[in-house]
Amino acid sequence: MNTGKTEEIKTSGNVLLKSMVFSLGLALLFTLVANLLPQVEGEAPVEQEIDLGTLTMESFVALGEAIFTGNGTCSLCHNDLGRAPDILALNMVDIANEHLEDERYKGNATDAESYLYESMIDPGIYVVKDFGKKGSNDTISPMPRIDKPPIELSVIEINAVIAYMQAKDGHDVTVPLPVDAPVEEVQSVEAEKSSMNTISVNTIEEVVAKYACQACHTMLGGGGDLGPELEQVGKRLNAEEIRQSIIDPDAEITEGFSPGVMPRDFAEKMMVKELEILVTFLADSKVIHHEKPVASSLINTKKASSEVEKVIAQFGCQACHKMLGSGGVLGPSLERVGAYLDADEIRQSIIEPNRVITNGFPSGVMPPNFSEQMSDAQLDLLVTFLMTQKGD
Amino acid sequence: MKARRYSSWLMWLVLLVIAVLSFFWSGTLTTANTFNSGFFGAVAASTEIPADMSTAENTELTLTPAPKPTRADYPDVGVSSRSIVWVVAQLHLFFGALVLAVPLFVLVIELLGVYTKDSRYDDMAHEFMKISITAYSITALFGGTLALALFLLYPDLMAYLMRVFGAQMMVYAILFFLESIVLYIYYYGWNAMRYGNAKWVHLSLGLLLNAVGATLMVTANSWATFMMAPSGVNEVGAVIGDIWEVMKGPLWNPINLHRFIANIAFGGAVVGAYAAYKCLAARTAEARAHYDWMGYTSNFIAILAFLPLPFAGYWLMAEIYAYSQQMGITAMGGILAWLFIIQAVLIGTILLAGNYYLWSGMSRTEGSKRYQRFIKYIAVVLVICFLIWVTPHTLILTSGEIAALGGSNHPLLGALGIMPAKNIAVNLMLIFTFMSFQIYRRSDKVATVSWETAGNALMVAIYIVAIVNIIFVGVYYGYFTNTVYKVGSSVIQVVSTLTVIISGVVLDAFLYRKAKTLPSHWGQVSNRAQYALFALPIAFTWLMALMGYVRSSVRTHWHVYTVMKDTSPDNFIPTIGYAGNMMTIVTVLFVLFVLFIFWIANLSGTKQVPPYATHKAPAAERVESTA
Repeated sequence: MNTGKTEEIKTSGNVLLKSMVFSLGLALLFTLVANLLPQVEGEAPVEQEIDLGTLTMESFVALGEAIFTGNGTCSLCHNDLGRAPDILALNMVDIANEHLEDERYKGNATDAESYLYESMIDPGIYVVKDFGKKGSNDTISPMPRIDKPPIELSVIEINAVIAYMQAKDGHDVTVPLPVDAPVEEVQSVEAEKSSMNTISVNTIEEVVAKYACQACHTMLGGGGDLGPELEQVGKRLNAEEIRQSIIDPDAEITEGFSPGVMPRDFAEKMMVKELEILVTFLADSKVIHHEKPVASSLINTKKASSEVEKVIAQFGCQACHKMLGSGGVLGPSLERVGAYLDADEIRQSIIEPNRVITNGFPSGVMPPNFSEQMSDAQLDLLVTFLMTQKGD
Repeated sequence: MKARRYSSWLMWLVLLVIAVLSFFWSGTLTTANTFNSGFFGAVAASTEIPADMSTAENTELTLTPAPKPTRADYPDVGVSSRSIVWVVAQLHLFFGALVLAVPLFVLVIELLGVYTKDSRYDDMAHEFMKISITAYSITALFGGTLALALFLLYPDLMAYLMRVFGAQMMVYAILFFLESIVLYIYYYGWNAMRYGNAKWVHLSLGLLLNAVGATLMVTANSWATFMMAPSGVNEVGAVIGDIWEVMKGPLWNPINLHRFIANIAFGGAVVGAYAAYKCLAARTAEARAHYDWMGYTSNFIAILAFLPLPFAGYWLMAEIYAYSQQMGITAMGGILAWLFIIQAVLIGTILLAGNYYLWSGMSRTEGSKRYQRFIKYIAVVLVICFLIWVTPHTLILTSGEIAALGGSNHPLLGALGIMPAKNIAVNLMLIFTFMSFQIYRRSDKVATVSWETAGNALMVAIYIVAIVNIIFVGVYYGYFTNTVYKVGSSVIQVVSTLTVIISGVVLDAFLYRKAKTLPSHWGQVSNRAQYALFALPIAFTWLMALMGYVRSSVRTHWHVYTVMKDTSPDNFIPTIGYAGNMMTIVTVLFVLFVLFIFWIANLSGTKQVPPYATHKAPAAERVESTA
């Protein structure tokens, strides 16, 4: 090694400052890269209670889907990347039946539902070919028991996932709804959205309000005329016919009314309990039960002291929309509608409700004939009022 | 110096007192459980809260489960507890890595000095230790602060860990006393034991120092790996095994190996920055030459240790997948997956800086002209591989952008976003970095053996076969078979890379035996090359912070995975931007402390000229030392 000579040489300026600036610049460059990438927070699961007695089959399936992609972390492996069978692309009921026939199957399940349940709480019983733990020759499953930590799904949550797997391919959901179960603790942030419509209802007034029957039908002393009046429907239809007209409204059309107007998804949205309350009530409604318009008692306990409140009460807006501090959840809340829609847009959404649909809400639910039912003055009054609703 | 020693002893005394007090606070010292579940083994027994577990029903023993703290059980100090622990723990780990790594290669350099009888090796090793010994005091300060922060901010977790590890933590504290004693004797006794048999005593002390240091490291690693993959406890966290079963979890050895290698690379990079700083600030050609050589040696250590690091990382990740596929996917394919894009940027920076330093360093010798034509090709390959590595797979786009792109993956570049492409890129980057290293080493030599041509042909053939194999295996198994084979193919690629490295080192050792040596001019290197030596520790530090964050975050909302939930306000995974900001904060703090260490190390070698001599040499009040 030639170490050179001992003569003095010139240094390259302020080395300390230069090296610090260089180091800081490089560190900031890495920080920039970190800040340019997608910014997502990984929330820990929040424990919450939901009233299982209010679950409909539709929301139970939705809960299962939310668990599948959320807290259950199923989609982490069960996707199209080949880590585990792609459940979303497979018909899981058919697959379950195939596996039950396989001689390698050593479990105790007798049908698809029990097989799916078993596969989640004891994944090692049947390991799908080529998806076993490396080196185990498909005898050990890499899947954790999902009823144990870190996933820790409850029995109800596991059943919801099974219901989802059955429903997604059009199979009958054989998992029973936990309607009579006690209130249980369910871990699910994602399920919150799917269960937000599950308001406990126990009376006919609440059922009518929840599903906005009076928006189209006259019943309980008030309502619209888009559909046949139901005040004395028990005189002309029996319980079975009424049930059918709710779950399959276009099967029989009352003379003078058009098919395709009444939503066809009440069977999915309604709980069994709610359907029975409604059918029983209507079958018995051979006489008028109420003289005063029930809509006003449903929509607001306050006396309709102003003109706009009268309009809201008359057309049953609060049956579906939250406004004036209360209301349903079938349609979007209108308490801040003035903050994001102008007068023309509000007017259009009343007279042509299906032209623009708020995200997360289905089309075809709000009656399209309010422009015929309302006077111009009522419409102007309602639009002016809604313009003032900015959440202040 | 004395002050530093006293502060270090004081901090470890504080640590020991805290450990003892915490032992009592955990409320288990009075039961038989403590020592049974701790160091001395056997099944834990306690009269405390019985665990809700079916296995306990058939036994008379009742086991104490892990605590289940509520949010109210975490002290609120007005600042994010996680951020406090994050900064202090990371700084402790940085300095801990440095002080454990430096004695490792110092011992090797010292041994090299004995065999070559070249005192410059001995001087350089001593100077490296000068950096390490100051860093040791700072490690101790941050260690004590970290212990205080943890016991203050996470009392339930620490009580549980104290219960699980028991007396092992006491052993850890005692080992630090032993480490301190051996370290000070090793450093301050350097010149007193420089020659003859005394040198071998000194070398033995170095070996003992490293043995104690390695024991400390693996002991502390067991705490981290227990939190990731608990063993020796049942499903509710009650201790059912002895301390050995608690320590030897599935991730313990992979972490031990990974940290051992990474520490060496990190230590080499930090002392390389010291050498670069001194080289740039040198006022004499002799000093510049000395620090140029020291920088080269440091870079050699850093890159040599860095080359096998991805394979140790691969083993660790494979074991994580084997332990919990969910945990593995959370890291590599879940919310933390984007962090590996930053990892690619960092490792790319390290390899490009390391290569640039080697290419610049070739200007020191006239013989390098034979190889300089290869540099541009190596650079092109490195840049292409780097770009493949940083290509993301799934893009987060607006619906309009997805429509324009035809999907969330780019039709052409999307194929470069998945692991097979990245495995090819990483292996090629490692092979071509080794090529840079090899041609650098050959630059000042001319082979004299008769089989030189055949030897070179063999080396070229090994390169070609390995490169073709890596690309073919990666493409064929990565894109035309299922996942199981994808994983298997990466092993073949790793073997190909290692074959090149090992055969290259062995072949050159024989090929250049009794080779003619061409003159090298140490100090004749560009200043830009010295900045490459600054880039290395910055990237290494950031990388350590990043990978430590990934390792810790795969536990998601668990303090101890599956047995003790984190219910604190910070039990979520923050955004990448927030994490990146934290990493930069700890990196900048570390750099500031390192500069302080450099200043201290420099100060200790500076001698003030006696006052009576100042009138003779007013312009040179201080004498620079190169030793």
